[in-house]
Amino acid sequence: MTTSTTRRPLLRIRNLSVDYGFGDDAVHAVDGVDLDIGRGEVVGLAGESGSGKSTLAYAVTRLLREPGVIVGGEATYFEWPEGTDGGDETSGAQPVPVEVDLLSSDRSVIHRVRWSQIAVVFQSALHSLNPVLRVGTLIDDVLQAHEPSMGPKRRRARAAELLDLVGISADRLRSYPHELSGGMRQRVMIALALALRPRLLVMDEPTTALDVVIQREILTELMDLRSRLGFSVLFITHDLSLLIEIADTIAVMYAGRLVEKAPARALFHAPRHPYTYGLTHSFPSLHGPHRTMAGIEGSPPDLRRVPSGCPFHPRCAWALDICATQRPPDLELGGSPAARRVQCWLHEGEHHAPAELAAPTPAPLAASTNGGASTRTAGATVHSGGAS
Amino acid sequence: MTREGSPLLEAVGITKHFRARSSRFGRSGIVHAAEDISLSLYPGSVTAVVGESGSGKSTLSRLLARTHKPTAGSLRLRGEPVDLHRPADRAYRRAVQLVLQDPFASLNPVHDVNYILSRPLQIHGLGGRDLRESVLDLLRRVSLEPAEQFIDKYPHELSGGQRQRVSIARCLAVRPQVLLADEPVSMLDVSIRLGILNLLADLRDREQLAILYVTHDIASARYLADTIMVMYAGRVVEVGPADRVVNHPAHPYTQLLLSAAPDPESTDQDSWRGSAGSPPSLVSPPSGCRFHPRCPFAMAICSTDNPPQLPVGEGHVAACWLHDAGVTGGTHRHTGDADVFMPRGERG
Repeated sequence: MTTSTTRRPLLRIRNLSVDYGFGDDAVHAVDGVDLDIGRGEVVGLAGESGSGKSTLAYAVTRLLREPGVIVGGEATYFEWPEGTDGGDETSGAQPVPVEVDLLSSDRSVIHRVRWSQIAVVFQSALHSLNPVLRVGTLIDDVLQAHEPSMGPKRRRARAAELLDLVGISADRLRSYPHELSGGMRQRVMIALALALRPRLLVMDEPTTALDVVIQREILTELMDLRSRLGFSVLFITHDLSLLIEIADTIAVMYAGRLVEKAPARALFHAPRHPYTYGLTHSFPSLHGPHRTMAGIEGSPPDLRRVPSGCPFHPRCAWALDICATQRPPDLELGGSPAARRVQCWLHEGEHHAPAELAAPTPAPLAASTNGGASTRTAGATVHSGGAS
Repeated sequence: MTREGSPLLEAVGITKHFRARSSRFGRSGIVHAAEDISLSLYPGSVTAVVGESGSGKSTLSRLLARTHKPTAGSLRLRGEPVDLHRPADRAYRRAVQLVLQDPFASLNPVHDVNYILSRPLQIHGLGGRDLRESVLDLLRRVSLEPAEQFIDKYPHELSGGQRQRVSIARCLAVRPQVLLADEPVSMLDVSIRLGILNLLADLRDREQLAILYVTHDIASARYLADTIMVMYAGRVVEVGPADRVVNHPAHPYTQLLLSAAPDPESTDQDSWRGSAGSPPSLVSPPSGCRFHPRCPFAMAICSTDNPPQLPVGEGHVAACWLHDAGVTGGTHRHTGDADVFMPRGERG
């Protein structure tokens, strides 16, 4: 896993806001979110129910249904020319990407980008696969719609190839979805999503409904496919423990805001936001000494009545007076820019973060340059104003 | 394992077969949902039943709650045999209570908390002089405080975690000795799950309840339980003290389950061996050990004979032929420490 700073951009989301409904009754499901996904990067989006993580994904893929409305912000997809694969910097002439505005482009552009560039895997495979069509037909439909030049023979060959890619034998092309096990259905979903060699796979809770052994199988396969095919993944889940193992970068959402973003291991071992800290202390580990964990006091907020200021302040053990009144700024912490961000007053200016939120950032797994001293959080810079 | 006191609830060889009439199974088939399960629940202890979907863990909790009638086997409550031919009587229901998985479905939406918690008190004649005060007391016992604020609320006004607390309070109303909790946190948001688990631990310690905790999450089982029982395809494959089962799993299925569980503390990325296949059909389960078609260590005997529960350590048994010295030819496999198969994280 390389750090995200050297990657070329693939998706850039800026200040994205999505409401459900209009006017005073509107629920702000996504509220001013910035997020970048680099080429070949696995970004995990963690949050509890109602945090807006799925809404964010549906907005950028333009799959949002009424009463969902995108009320602001931008989402840009960078369409790189074929053959410039590999997320890291390469030698030779600099390829130039085509920028696609995902939020305002018209349907025909979106139709071209969606699936062939950005593909989505939904949570419930049983409800996402047409029950009256065979697996082969499902794949064939996609190829027919998006690659009209492909003949029936080549389509059939490609369908078999796709099933093989996800570890299902080709004779399953004649099966109906109900004849497959839950794990196999989810694999068919992944095969379908990969049919047009997309550069970004958006996965919305793809393994939540599966048993843990099958989940592990599918994740291992997914990571294997990613390293072979080089696509990026936006992996949406409520299960932070999962993300720590598979993601390069993790973004944590709470009440529609992106409250913290950091490299996966840094986020787990050295969280900066009190909510992230609480989350990392919400699932017991299989190893290490027994310790009593508390989870987080209170409950996730009702989005119709989001607390003022920082939405987490009623549950926060370290809340300051300012937290109840003013929205916290989006702070960039540490050395390299965009490495980690946090929306929390505790890290701003004269305030002092408690020791729990100032643990030294762990060194990356691969390159173990054990420089514990250089990872202070001093010098936080204000990234954007706290206007809401 | 040394135990204080005698078991409150015991199951001996309890078995449940469901008749499947659906044409999907061809001729009317039999679903072998739970097979020959024995366990004892002791006061002041939590026993976790861990398994994947279809392992029979929920069937087991319903057999113990007596919402299902067992096909074979017997139950003993406080040492007294339970007459399984008659429906559960009020005394049994009072002693053994079931907490359901989904607090969004298990509370009647048209009644307020006061009604929901008063009913069991009234039915069992436990309300005392001041019914409302008894209800408030129940709310305090599940840490819904200030209780006066919660007593008049309706389920829809409560969050998932609060609802699950009400549902636990409803069980506590009848002063049970055994609490059967079937996946009590799986429907809840991550940040509030531990609150419920800690509440169960608290009830165990403070009120000496015997708790059965049914879960698919072995990490939470290690956190809460004293004893872990692992089920696979309707059978018990391993039972032992929670830490021993997690640190020294003796059954290949337990090892598979542990290596598949997400574990952020782990730095070992290569330990996942993969698993051929998925759990079997319970209509026609494999002969012998039900895990043998997927087992990397399967021997000839595994496909013909069902393994007995063999001791592998202090209070720790595994239903696996690998631990039978006679079968493996007395190799070091039967060491009682199960150190032949180490899960990840145990090798370093």
